[in-house]
Amino acid sequence: MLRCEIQEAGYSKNEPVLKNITFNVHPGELVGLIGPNGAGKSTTIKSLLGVIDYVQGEIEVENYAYIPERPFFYPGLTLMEHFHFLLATIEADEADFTRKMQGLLKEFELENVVHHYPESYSKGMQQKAMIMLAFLKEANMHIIDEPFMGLDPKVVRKLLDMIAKEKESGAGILMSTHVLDTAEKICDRFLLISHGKLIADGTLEYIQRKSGLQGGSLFDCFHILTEREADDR
Amino acid sequence: MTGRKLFKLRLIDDIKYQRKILGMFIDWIVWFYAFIPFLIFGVLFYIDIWKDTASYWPEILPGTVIIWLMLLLLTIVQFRMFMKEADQLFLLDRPKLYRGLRTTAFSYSVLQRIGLAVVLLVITLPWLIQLIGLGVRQIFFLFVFLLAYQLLISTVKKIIRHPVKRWILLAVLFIFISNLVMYLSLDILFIASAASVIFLTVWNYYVMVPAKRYFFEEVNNEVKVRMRYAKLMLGMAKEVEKPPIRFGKRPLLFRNSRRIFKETNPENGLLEMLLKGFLRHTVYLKSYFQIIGVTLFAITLLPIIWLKWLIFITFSLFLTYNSWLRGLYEKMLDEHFFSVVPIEKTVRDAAWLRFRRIFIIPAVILVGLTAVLMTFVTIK
Repeated sequence: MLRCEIQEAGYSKNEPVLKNITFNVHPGELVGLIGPNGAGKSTTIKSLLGVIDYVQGEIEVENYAYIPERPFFYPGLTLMEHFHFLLATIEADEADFTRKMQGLLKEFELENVVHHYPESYSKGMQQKAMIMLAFLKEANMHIIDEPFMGLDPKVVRKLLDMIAKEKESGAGILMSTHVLDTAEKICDRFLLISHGKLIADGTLEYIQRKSGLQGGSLFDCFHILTEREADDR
Repeated sequence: MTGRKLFKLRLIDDIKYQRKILGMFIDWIVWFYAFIPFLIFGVLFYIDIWKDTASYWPEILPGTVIIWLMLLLLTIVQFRMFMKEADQLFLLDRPKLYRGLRTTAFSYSVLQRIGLAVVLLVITLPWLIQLIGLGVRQIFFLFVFLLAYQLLISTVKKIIRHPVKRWILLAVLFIFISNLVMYLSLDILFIASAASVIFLTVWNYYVMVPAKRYFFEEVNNEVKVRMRYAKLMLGMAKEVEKPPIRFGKRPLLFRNSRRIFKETNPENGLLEMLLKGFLRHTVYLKSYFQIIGVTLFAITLLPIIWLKWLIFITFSLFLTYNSWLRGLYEKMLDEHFFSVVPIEKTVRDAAWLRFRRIFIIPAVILVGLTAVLMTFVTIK
């Protein structure tokens, strides 16, 4: 479903940001991509999306939906027109798509502003609109970058439910986040990146063993592993 | 520090900044070599207009059109108060300094309005004297009228905050005042204009200048005015990222997101997205209409028939083969949004052919019809 074998990647060949990042995300699996600021999480995601200048290695990703950290909308289009565009590109059944869209609009309380420009929304509303676009795509793979930023607890709950539902239906999910306590509860596996390298890939138990902190929280294990990696450099 | 000194600092800083921007794009030697021939040509041209004014004005147009054109041009004016964002920390709580700066800025704006009216009158003097037959006294009346109009427009722009309401009111004022020129004598216009100048100056001095409620709009305006040359230069450079424009809350065109195409497929989806994006983007739309407008203007004014048709052919070739429209299309596709909903190259290419047709055909028909019409007018 998602196979990533990056030997090197970055904004130019002379200055690669990532080195030897290899991982997979399988159907029905939720994988947390974690790491300190500037570790290379966003570059990894950009490499998966194919929007970075220099990537050496092999990447395979099937029919994906992407939720960026910072919402991107097409300038001069209303939210409804973004949905129209999505419907046109995925060529889904219109009645089915519209039913799902109406349900999500109601759930995320965006019905009254669907004919407004998303640029005029608050940060949280924009993030909700992005989530809707991603989930309406009915993808096999979801790449989610910092999904909880700017969302109120009610919407975070809804998003977690939606992620769980997608997972149950067999979709793979790669989620980059700094919210480690939430990630600890919901992710099946973790990819810990530091200074452009993958320093751990495994379940919470594996991370705990590797950090030498049996029963420790993901937060504490993360701290030990990243500090150790920094000392080794 | 007094308000006057602070104003002086900001004005000098702005002049230096604008010089730096212009200097960054064009070397001073180039300016010099472009300016001198332009100046010589301009003076010779102006002398020629004085000698033979009638041949520089189409017979079919009445002389009052000159005054309408001046009014239309003056609709762009506004008061500039030189406010900066950091003033909310350092200036708003110092009323004396705040008022001092704004009083000087307002006086400077009024002086600019006077200067602009004088420049326009000097440029149009040959037509005003020889075509309409105005004397010195009437030209002075016209000067006061233009000054009053500018103060009125600037005041309306200041107090009406809703952009649509503001532009509707400005359009109504323009039409109303343009008609006053036709139906009222200049003596009456002078009395009304002089009274308006006094009233608007006093009102602005006592109400607008000390007010704080316009602060954030003035800060936004200041950013726009400060960036005027930078924007112009960046606008001309295709390879430079353009600053984003604000679309407001809800579109005026296709207000309820009405669809353009009934059939849903990727090509129609992309084309619809780009058409709506284009029609709602004031900068794109302005560039398109500017190109057509300048061509129509040239075809209408040029006295020789073959020149009119040469312009028509050049225009058609420019629009079809020049990279302007293609560059715009590529820029519209260069959006981060397409990493969320990707689109295939075949779809982009197919949509381009239709996008090009939609914008080229009406423009060529309009310019072609004008060329035919103006050919008949010139023959007659």
